[in-house]
Amino acid sequence: MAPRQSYSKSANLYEPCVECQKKRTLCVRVRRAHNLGHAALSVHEPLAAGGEKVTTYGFWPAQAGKPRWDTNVRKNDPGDVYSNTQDWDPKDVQCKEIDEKQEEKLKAAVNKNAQYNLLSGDWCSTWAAGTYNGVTGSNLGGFLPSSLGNSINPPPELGPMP
Amino acid sequence: METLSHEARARLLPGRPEGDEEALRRALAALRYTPEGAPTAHFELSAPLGWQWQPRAESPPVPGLLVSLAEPGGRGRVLVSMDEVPRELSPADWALMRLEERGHTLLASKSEYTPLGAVADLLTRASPPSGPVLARTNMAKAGRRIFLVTCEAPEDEYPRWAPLFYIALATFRALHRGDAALAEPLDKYLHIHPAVVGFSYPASLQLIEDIRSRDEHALRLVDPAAPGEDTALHPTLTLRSLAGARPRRLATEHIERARKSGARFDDLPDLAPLPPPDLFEAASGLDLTGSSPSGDIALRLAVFESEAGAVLLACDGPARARAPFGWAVGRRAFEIVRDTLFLV
Repeated sequence: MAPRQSYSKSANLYEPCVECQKKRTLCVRVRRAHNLGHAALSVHEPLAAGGEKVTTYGFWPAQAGKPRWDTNVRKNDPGDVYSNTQDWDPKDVQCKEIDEKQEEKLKAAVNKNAQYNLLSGDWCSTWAAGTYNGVTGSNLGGFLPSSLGNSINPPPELGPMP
Repeated sequence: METLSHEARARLLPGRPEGDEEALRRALAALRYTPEGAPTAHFELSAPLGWQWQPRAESPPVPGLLVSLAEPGGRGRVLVSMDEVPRELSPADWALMRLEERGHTLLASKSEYTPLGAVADLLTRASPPSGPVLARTNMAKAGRRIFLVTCEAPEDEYPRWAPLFYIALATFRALHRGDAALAEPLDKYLHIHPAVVGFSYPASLQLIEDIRSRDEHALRLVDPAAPGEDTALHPTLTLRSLAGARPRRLATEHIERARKSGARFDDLPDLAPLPPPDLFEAASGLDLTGSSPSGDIALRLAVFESEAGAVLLACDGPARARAPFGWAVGRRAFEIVRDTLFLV
């Protein structure tokens, strides 16, 4: 059996760009009228059990059946075979090498955007209630005592519905 | 805005009630309401025993009214309204617009910025023929839906009702959790020259790239007007990064361009420091109002600095008094781009 390839921080960490073949390269497909540009930066990490974990930090256009804020798109997802994608044109690719510090910032930026798009709460309640449902857990004002929360009494409606 | 004394604020905008919690508990009932034809707009709130649902008819009509609840004498009322907004907006901006449509003016407000836009606790006054009315309004947002809960009473009786109004506001809860947090989806943009610039923006805006070069990158986000609509009532956002540019130069050049397009600003304050968003080391900005051949205008501008350079974000649009909706759309789009912007 062939020995498992060893990985280090300085070698084989990044998948080469599909076009320029450079490593640690940010590659952007330029904007077209029907499809905004995207970037993909893939990090390969060895797993203790063998094999590797590939994480792609990317900004991708919306894909059918996926929410627009899906930022965790794997580069080799079905349908992402560039040669089979009519939208893909190698002439549209711009590549830029980035250093490790820039990469760290980019990861943080992608994470920041993803969090913004995936707000954990999906509505904000009133100021007086003192919460907007888990978005940050910030207390906007004075809560009622918990015993006076939203289940004060069993909720039979008072009076007729209009 | 009228200035209220500390005592008046405490009396008119009370917080958590003190005293015998058990007695208060016994005096309250949790109410649920499901609007006819809109089952997912159901909500609950707590009110004193004896309060009654009221017919929907209001004179003058309350926009978007789902239901009102009143004490037996009909003097103190809680109005719950809901609108589906066509664009991403801050709940606080929407609430004030709706209240102003009903003739209310702002007396006091307390607001906080959240990732869903600003939320606020508003105290307003209206002067219908039947006599002055005070109202306290809170708001909730669920995707495109913005709920407004307005508690109002004749001005001379309002302090008596204020503690109960607090309870109605504090216990209001929309019961349906929507699929999305914001009123509209976001699109994303990324460019790599002269620096890596990325951000998210409301998908209804149209992105137009003006300059792409090795040294400069500039684009506009345009809120498209419907056919026949006045484009001057819609905002335009500008984003510009320039290799090695200093913040003041980016700001000055933007204002000069606005002036060349006919804008006139009465006062031109210096850039004021702002709290820098994540991933930026420094930020500064200013808010301007002025006039143009098409009417009164507002300009909000900020410059963000990082090791990689500086980037300008500006929103040019109508003044609030001229087009409150367009103004609010631009303001919220500005916030979203600002919150998601990065420069690497």
